[in-house]
Amino acid sequence: MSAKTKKEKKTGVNQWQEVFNILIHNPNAIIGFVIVAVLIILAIIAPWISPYDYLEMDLMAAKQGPSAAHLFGTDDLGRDILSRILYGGRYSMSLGFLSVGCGALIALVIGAVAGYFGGWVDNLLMRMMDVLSAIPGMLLSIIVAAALGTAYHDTVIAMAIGNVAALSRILRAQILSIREKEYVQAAKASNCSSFRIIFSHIIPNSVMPMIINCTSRLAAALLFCASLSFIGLGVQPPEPEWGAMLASARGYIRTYPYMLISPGLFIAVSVVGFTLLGDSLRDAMDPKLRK
Amino acid sequence: MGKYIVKRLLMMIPVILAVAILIFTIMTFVPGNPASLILGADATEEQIRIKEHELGLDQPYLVRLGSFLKQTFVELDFGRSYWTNTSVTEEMMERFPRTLAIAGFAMVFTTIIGIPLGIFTAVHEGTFADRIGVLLCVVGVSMPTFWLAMLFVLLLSLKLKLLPAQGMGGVQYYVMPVIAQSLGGISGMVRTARASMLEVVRADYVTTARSKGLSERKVIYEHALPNAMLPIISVLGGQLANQLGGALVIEQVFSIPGIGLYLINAVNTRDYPVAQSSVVFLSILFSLIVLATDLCYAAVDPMIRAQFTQGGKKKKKGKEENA
Amino acid sequence: MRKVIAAVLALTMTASLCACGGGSSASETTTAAAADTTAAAETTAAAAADTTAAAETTAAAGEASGTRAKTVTLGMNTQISTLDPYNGVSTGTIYLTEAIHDQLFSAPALGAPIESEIGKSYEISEDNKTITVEIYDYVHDQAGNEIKASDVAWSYNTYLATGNATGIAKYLENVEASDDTHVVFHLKEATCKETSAADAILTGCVIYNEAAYDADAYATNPVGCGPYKVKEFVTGASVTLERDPNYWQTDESLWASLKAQNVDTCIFKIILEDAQLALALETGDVDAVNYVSADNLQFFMDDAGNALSGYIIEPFSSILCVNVSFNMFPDAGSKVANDKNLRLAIEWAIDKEGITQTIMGRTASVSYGYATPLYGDYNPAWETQDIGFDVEKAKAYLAESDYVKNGSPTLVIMTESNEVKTKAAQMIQNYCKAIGINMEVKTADTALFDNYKYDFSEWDLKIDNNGSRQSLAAMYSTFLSHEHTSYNGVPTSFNGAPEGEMSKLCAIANNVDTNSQQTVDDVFNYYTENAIIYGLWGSINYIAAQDGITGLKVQALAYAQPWAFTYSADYKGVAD
Repeated sequence: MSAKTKKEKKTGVNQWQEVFNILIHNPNAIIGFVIVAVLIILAIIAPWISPYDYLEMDLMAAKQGPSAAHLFGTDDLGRDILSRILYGGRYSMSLGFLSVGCGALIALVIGAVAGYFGGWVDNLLMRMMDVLSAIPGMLLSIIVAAALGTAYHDTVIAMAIGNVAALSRILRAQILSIREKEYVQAAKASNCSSFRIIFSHIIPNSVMPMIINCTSRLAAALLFCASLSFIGLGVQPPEPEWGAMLASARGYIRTYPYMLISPGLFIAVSVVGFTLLGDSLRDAMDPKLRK
Repeated sequence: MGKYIVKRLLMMIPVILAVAILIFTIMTFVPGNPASLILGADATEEQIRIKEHELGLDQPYLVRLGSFLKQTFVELDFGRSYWTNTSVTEEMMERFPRTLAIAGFAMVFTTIIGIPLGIFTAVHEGTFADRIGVLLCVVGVSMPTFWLAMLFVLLLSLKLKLLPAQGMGGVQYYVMPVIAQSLGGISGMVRTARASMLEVVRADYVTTARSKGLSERKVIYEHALPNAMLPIISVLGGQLANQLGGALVIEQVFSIPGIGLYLINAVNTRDYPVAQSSVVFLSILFSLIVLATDLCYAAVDPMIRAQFTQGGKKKKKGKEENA
Repeated sequence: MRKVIAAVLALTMTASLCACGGGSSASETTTAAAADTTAAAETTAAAAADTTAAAETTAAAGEASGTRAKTVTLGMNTQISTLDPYNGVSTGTIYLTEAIHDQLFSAPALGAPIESEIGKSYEISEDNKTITVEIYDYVHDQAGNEIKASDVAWSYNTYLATGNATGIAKYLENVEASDDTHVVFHLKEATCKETSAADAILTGCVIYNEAAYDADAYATNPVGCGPYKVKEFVTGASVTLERDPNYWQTDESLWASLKAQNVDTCIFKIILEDAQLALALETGDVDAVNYVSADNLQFFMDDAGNALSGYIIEPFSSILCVNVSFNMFPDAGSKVANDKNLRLAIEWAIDKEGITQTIMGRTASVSYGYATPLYGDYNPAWETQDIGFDVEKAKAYLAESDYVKNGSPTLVIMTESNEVKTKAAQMIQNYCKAIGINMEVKTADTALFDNYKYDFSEWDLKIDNNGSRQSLAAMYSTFLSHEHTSYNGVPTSFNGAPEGEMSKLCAIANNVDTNSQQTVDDVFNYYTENAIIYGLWGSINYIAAQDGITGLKVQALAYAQPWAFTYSADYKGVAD
């Protein structure tokens, strides 16, 4: 920790620079980054590169295996699976980002307030988190999802809630260690408001572990999002979310198994991308693992 | 130590109570009316009102909450299903072993395969075998379990017709769910074990041991391994919790009438007593798992043990959430 | 009195033209013997007339049970959560009801005359207000407890008290025993003239011995009066039934057509997923399956509809009509309520043949009107009179509507998030898009759907399914009754339609004094002309079995009844 502590005040640029240097020499990081970047770009430019409209049904061409016209085949309503997968990336990945992002945002506030103020505030908030984490994250999300419904924003909320408890703990622990640092004490001494101290000093210096954690959480969120749609509690058809596509392909597992290969493959590849990126980021930022 | 356990158990009570209140509140305020669902489309409004009264749904929130808490925690009775009028406790006891079987076996495989493999790859860091292993594990943790499960069904059940893929029966019904459930766990465990072993291998005291001229074998097994086990044990509890959570989804794929199917169905049909009781039951279970993990941790680490006996506050570091 | 019964019977008999002759011979009291099994068999055959295989095998079921098989294992795609119907009616419970329980009477098939079980005969009073049932004087349950009229009255009253008896609670004021063998049912004034009242009451409740009843134990181990006892109940996995050698009704000639003891042990094995269910039959895990999905039919039958070697497979029409209804609530923001032309445009734009074929394949028949052909009061002429698929007409209606003038708003089509209905919604969305109507699909799980379907600010179109165990007239009047729901304090019907012309027509069609094909036609004409509701398809349930089974049997809802299957002499069950 010592190397990091010294730099903390100046932080920002230097530290990121250093991490970047490490990452660029790590093949895993490059692979992960390329996968994630390609998938994101594909999702963004989906309207221009999709061979068909993802909603367009061609009943004459329903349930066709992969062919030149339909690279991944067509689904049971004659929609082009490739186009749906490209569009589906928008749903699947944005759900992942948003749910982790929202979870992190809530955690940021809770963790920061608890960590900074300590005392009964801390106690109260952390006991609340104890309650949340006594229900396994997945279970909590499943219940909330079932309760809210299957709209896009409902799914985001349901998934975000599962992340809050763990993330706010991490942040709080980080803040506890920073709170006693000289520069925070200095800010306090110079009569800075609590709000200002939290947001201009403490949070910027404690987001690092959050970012590492969030990146690996993204991978988990993508998987979970797919599971949720698969069991019918996440985003539902006609939205081409990958998990939802798998769910509707499930009935054809025997007769048209190709329908469940490509969506699953895309989920797996995107999760590999985020996992590699998360791993490399963690390694790069953890001084103990640096060679 | 005994004092510490009692203290932790006592601390569990308010948490579980709060969980019960939380889940009760969620279930109460979600849209959907069990009375109307039970009676179906043919029921008149009058009939629905009578049913609501019978189920006690017409009482104020606080009154219902009170009687729910009293029933669950004072009378220790989980009540009866709105839909089938069967005892929730009995039904859970019948279903839980099935869920536990999947999670338990998956856990066993995760432990006995994952840990040695993780240590092996760490010891042979940088070799070809290590690289392959690491790659496979990344793929392993990245595959959606339910997708993997479906691919297994496609191959083993539909194409080769080796295993039944649905429902309940003998051991053969558990093979695919357990394998599908284990793979992710094993991959995750290898990664954790490898990481913590690597961290130890690079530590000063290992270098010291090496410089003393001890054999590499001795260094690894007598100095590095015991220390590496600490973080590994700490994730075991989390793993078991994950496996139980994952079993909820895998039960859906294989239609195994375990507690997951029971719970999700109850949430969908607004069978409040079943949904609330299942969640309370599962969270008690999870809290106990966390406690057990902490105790194991204490048993291994003298520093933490000392902390316990002093009765000092133990700091949780969210280690169980090692995703 | 005579008029009443004749009306009821005539109604049911229209289902089967050939059975009509017998129908007019209605006597003062319908006795057990009068409900002859051949008429019933013909009705079932006629119901599934669009398929060839049905007639011959149903006829086979009419033969007396030749050989008694040892075991049969039926794969089920539905959960069996409780065996006591008093706990609420779930699909799995209905499957087993006829085996475990006896009622006063039972309906062998939709629209067929009811048959005697515990009730020997019944009589409906001149004013339709009371029904008197005479029961057999030697009835006992599976534990040997005698069943007297007081037990029957107690059973009905207990069932009514659970609040789950929606089907009969609507009609019944109270039930009392007048002596050991006579039970008197008092009907509510308002409902006593509804066409379906008597049948619904008499077939609506299973009978228990009062003293023996144990609400806790009966959920998984009920002591009923039926021909089969519960041997084992494995939660969520299987139920095993065992033939009761001491079944109270010793005279087999008096058995209702769903009562049979053609097998010693019946195992119901729950396999929820379609592909696995089909596979279980192929790999010999089960002897029969209660359902084959469209996609899996190919493993049991060829394109011409003949069973593949080694199997027997048959279609049975179910009563459920999957339909689209328009939100007619006047001022809750519905964009279609006040625009008849827009509704007509949507109906003409939808190719329901295409939808049915794509989603259901052989497992459904296109619905004409808001009906399935199974009902006695179905009129085949509707098939030509119903709104069809005509894009030009749709566009013409759209041009006349205010839709474009109102800025082409996005309509919301709401459906339960089950696979077929979601697909149907997506296809409708697509058809509407083709003529320039924007639509958004909104799915909700069962509980949320149940909640939102009466929230008339949530949707413009809704996909749902309806059915009645009695008649279309009954289904229509239930659908448009204003007793079922209210919105903003205003009692309203399922589709939000205000009290008006259509509810009047339904009431006339469903009254025993005025019920006729003409009055039912009037309802059809009204909802078709005004584009209020629109049937998509009626489900057809395929049941498949190994060929050691020679005849299949279903009850009124097309649920397989394996104890009443017929078995060949060399039949060998998978569990033997």
